[in-house]
Amino acid sequence: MQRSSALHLAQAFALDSVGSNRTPALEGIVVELYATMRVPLLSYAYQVVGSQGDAEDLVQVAFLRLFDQLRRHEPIQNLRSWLYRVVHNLAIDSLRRQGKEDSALSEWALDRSSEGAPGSAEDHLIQRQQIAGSLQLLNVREKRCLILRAEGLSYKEIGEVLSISAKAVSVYLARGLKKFEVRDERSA
Amino acid sequence: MNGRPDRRKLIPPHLADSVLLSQLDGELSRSEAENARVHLESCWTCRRRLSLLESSIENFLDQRPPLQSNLSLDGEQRVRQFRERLARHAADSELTFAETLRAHSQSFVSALSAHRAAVLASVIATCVLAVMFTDVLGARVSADTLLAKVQTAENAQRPAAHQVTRRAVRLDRIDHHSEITRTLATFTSIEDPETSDTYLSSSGESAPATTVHRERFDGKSSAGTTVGLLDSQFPPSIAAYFASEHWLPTVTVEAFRELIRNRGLSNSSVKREAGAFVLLYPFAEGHPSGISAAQLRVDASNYTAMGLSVFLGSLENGIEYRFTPTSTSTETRTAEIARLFSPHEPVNSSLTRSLPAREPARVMPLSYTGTKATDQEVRLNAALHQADACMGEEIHVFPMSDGSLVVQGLVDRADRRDVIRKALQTVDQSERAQIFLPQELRSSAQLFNLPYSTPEISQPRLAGRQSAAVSGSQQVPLYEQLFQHFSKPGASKEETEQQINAFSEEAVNLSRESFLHAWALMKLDLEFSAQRSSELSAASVQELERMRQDHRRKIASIARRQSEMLAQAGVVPQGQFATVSIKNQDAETLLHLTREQNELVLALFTVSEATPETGTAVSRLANLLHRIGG
Repeated sequence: MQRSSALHLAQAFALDSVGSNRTPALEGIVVELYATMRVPLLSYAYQVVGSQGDAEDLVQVAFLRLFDQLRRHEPIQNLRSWLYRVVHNLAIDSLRRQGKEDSALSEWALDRSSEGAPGSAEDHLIQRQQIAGSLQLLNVREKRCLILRAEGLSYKEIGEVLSISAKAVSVYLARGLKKFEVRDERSA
Repeated sequence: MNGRPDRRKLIPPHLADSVLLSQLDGELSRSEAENARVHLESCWTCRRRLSLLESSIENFLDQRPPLQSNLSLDGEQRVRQFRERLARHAADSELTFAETLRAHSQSFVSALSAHRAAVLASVIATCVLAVMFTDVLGARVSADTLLAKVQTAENAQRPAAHQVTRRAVRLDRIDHHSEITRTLATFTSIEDPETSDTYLSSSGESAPATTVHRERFDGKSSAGTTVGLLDSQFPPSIAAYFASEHWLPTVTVEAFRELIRNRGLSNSSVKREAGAFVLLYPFAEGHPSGISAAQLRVDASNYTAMGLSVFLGSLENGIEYRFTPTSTSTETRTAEIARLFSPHEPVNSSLTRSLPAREPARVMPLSYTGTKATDQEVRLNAALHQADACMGEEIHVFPMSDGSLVVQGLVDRADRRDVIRKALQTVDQSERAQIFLPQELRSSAQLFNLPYSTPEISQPRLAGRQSAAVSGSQQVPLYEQLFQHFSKPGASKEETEQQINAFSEEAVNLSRESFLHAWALMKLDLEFSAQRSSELSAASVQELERMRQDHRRKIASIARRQSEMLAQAGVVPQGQFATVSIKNQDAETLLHLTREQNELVLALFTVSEATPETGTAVSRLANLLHRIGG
């Protein structure tokens, strides 16, 4: 099933327009949605908590909460942003419990930049340093806005996940990208 | 102040980065987007900044795909794990009833609040429609709805072809004032749905004990009257009303509707009493019949009519005539029953006498069940057999209610009809033959229902239209083997394919013929069952056996021919098939075997979308031919 159709079906269920009260049917819908939404949510969760195992767990917990919410017929207006918000909150709680902030993003960036990029070893090293430097300049809000935007969420959805306005999202995004742009120019 | 205007105020301010980005992402409102577009068209600076933003976005996004693909590697395993986790979670946290109730109420309240206006409009519209198109206060909708439900239940009980319904109804007179109940009569009716005839008799304390009445309801005719049967039970005004409405004392929705059709009012009511719905239809005040109301009692559990009443005077203190069904059954229309409807041939019973005839008797076909086969019937079948009219042409010999036989059926062509008629003339020219061509049929009602129940096996896909072994670019499953067999030095591909087509067509036609012989054998068994054949002469029995053996011989012969064809074509090894002998397998077994034979041959020798596993299909066909032939 395509991601969009699974999402639409689950969204219809979340708005209670499907009308099925049967738990097995609901389980099927939630599993289907998990299969289609797992990767982007996991990607975001991993970038916040820095551990794939923790990220996997908290994404599953988010879907268990979704199941409970739907079974109680509590409506969800925007399922995608609701899922990201729950994952985000779970990730923040996880970080707080561990007493650390999301440094995982920088580690991720360093890991990624060492893989698959064409060019010489010197080019890779330079690129790693550039991205790491850019990411270090980003504040937490800017980082999260950028990651969520890259996952395809609209400003409104990002605002719902991070509990800020859409206008604020546009400002954070622009600021974050500006820092990339500065580093890019400086290194050029 | 030098009086010159401030240039900075004349130049529109540059767009903020957030606005530029929002413009890129399509997040601006229409007016904001239009303003941004106009500005960008005239501002180099902002266009340059927009370009930089785009490159920054690309720079950021370029780093993401490897992360996603890594995480998706073990997706299936994770989904399986999650499914199990969710199942455990669902089982551990089953909602209590109270929680469920709360959840549904929350859902309802939330939907109500979210769509308050729409809900309100719907409620008002529903109420308006209900008031406009129904008689809510008079409960007419409820009563009529119930009548429709009872009608549906009765329709489900309609007898099959060649069957009639026999009902017995008890008539009680209840004086509600004195609380005296007296049984007046018991009526027995036999209804034939094919002719709409109803035979009615009565017996009872106050009724003539020897009355046969015949009534025909065709929706138009007013022939017949029940006065002779009912007038002694009812006051003359009611009996006259029954007669004018052609009403018969049966407890059905149809009878009830006839009873209330001219009551002079449109209101009704319904109430529930001890497992029953009571539908009350009052009559107009001063109705000529003197009836004040008619009532139908309906079983609330299955919507069957339990009783029908007419009231004189008030419901509480007046007189009630109550009809209560005591038995209902369906049975085969035998010759004796069919003659009940004929005023010319009264039933030879001491309890009955016939009323004067009004119309000529209708001769009806009878089913094979309940009738005996005759030698003449065998001779007619032998003639049809001789003309091959038993091979797929739906022509049957019908025993009729007057003891005659009618040969009836449908053929495709006039010359074919001539052949069949000629064959029948050799038996007895006086026998009636109704062989139709499709264009001569005005309606399917001209053809009698089949005199037997069709066995639970469908006719196979008939070939001929689809027997081409090679059709365009498609080929039959056995094409390679057949091509190798038929390919000769110097022969073109087209010539070889023509031979393959001819070979395949013969295989298909033989299979079809085999099935039709089996079908004819089955029809003989149905028509001349042991029970029906008990009065046949020895010559007729012998003739039947000759026809049966003829079909068996042909089935076996076809199996042998097909076996040889498969062997010669190299589809199966030579010598696999023993000499074919006639096996006395029963008709039903042969019918199933030949049907499968036909399906397999079609699958192997015609082009079809469903390609079988060739080796298995050939092996099954070979075994099948062996079983059929010997």
